[in-house]
Amino acid sequence: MDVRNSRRQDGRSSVITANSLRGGQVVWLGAGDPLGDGWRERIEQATPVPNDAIAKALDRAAAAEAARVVIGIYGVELDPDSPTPMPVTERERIRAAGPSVRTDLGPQACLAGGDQGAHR
Amino acid sequence: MSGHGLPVGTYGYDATDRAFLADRVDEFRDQVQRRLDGALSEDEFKPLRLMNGLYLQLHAYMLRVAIPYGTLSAIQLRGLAAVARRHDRGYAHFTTRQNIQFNWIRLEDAADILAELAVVDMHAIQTSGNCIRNVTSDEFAGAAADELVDPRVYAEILRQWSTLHPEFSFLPRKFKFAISGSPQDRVAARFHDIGIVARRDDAGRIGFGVHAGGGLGRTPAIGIPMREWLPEEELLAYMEAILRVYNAHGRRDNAYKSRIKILVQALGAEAFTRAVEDEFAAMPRHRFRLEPKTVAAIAARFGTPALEAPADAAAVLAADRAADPAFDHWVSTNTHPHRDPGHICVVLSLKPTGGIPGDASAAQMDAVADLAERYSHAEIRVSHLQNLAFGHVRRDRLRSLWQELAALGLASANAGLIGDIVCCPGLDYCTLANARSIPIAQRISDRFADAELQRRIGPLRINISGCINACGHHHAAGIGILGVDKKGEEFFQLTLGGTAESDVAIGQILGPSLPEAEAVVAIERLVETYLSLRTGEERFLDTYRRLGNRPFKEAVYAAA
Repeated sequence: MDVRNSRRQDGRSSVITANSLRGGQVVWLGAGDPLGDGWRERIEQATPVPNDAIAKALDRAAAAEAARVVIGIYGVELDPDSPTPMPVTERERIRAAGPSVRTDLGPQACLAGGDQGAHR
Repeated sequence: MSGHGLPVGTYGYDATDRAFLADRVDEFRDQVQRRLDGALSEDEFKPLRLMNGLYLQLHAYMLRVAIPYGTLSAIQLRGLAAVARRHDRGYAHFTTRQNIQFNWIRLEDAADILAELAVVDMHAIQTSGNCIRNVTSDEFAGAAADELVDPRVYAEILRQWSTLHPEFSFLPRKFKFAISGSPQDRVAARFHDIGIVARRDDAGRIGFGVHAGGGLGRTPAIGIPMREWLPEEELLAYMEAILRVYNAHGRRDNAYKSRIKILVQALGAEAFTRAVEDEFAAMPRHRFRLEPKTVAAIAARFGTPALEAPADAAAVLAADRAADPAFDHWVSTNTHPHRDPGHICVVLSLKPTGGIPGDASAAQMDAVADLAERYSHAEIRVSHLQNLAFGHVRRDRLRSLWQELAALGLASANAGLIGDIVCCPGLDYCTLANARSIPIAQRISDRFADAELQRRIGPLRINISGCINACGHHHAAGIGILGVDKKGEEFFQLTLGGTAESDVAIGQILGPSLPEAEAVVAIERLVETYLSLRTGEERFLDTYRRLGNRPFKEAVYAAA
């Protein structure tokens, strides 16, 4: 796991992320089957997990990697002060939204009605 | 096309080359399918996809396509535009290694994309992995007035020698060549693992100056001189000797110490050179001899342009310049003398004010291909400074080209000036980055948008990297900017005094890193300090070298 994403503070929550094997796009683990429809393209649809439970949640999610649904599973700590799921690091905020210099691309654009190529 | 039916400036593939590429695509298609079927794990598949230029980046897979020595035909550029449009999000990014990257690729599409690239004689082989990467060269190759030898012929020879070379496919780390055909270093030769500068002796024979052990990244180093004069026929033997020494003695236990520059430093320049010379002396050199007929055969596969221009072409250009100050300014910054008096080399800036350095839309790529066909023998070059270039434009048609480029947003008069910022993709795209590099480039570009201000500042390169791997070549700029991570926050460290040109130098750290807003203000102060202290026509580098970093440091940090 990237060291930048392994820093976790007690009392906070994290979400689980990966990339789709086939499409490569960033996905977040929400409600549903990790081997099927549990992976979503919007961080808002991810299910937060308390940091003291994230290690076990990651272990369970690892089955999705073995099943070739996703690759590169890891946990992303959330900003406790944000009303919506917001990673604490700039890197993960950019992964969740899309390039900050191309707001017409990535999930941020879908929210605004753009990026028709995002969900092929 | 040239009179011989070959594309001008690019190496003409034959049936053998095309069959090889088709086999390679089939092989990769099978590898992808085995990954999707589960026959290959990610650990098994990753090195295979990387051998075909396919990375997993921040948002998706990224495909890096090789542009050999930075030359493209119009047909190839249209092929790249088609990939951008069909499989990506309508744009792509030209890199500091003269390659192109697509940022939003699906694994499922990757083999189809390689098949489409093969149709236009392109591929992604050896754009990743611990092998010999794309050989880079001068964007004015085969055209520049100061050129002694066309470096593309030797770059192609090196490409063929190094492609799938069984001994050098698993080196300790990646390995980068640059070759210049001009004594004026426009390829950053001494910041490469091997830098080659072509020469001619008094009898007109071709030879090469060879440097090794240069590089940027975590440990920037200037290559050491290995040979002042390497005869043409010994080029491959000597390269083989250097690679063998590196392959045998380079470290494989520590990725941070695995580049050849570290080996050169560990052994010392003298011992490293002796090891190479001993290997060279012991080799069966006849097996590696580069025969004149081989060089001629490779050269014959390049189309050469029929350089025909009206006798008054230069006079027409002079009159056009006199009549239009804006055009005159652009000519002064974005052109380079051609060996033919009726022609000129042109830089197409990919650095519009506030834009993303190196990015081009599919529409722009198609339009540039059209312009290349009409103005420059259907040939395009990509520079390591993330611009495009036309090699052979008639002087009397330059103003017309400029007007068409302006309509495409490709006529910024900033080549070599402060607006010509080199910048890696940074944290907006790259999984290795610590900080975003593009936004700070955009802010600096906006701040210095005024063309007259840029001209007054004069030659000044700003290079920006989002991490210590230095894809933005920050150590090689008058002002370098390195993004660093401080507890999740983006900070920027400034270096001053670097250059990759003939007076090569590594930029030196100015002081503590700064948050983004302060970093942009610091750039303004550095420029103001330079303008207030320079004498005569001094470049920024000259003033820095004369005065050292003290006045610049005081200007940046005094208010802090």
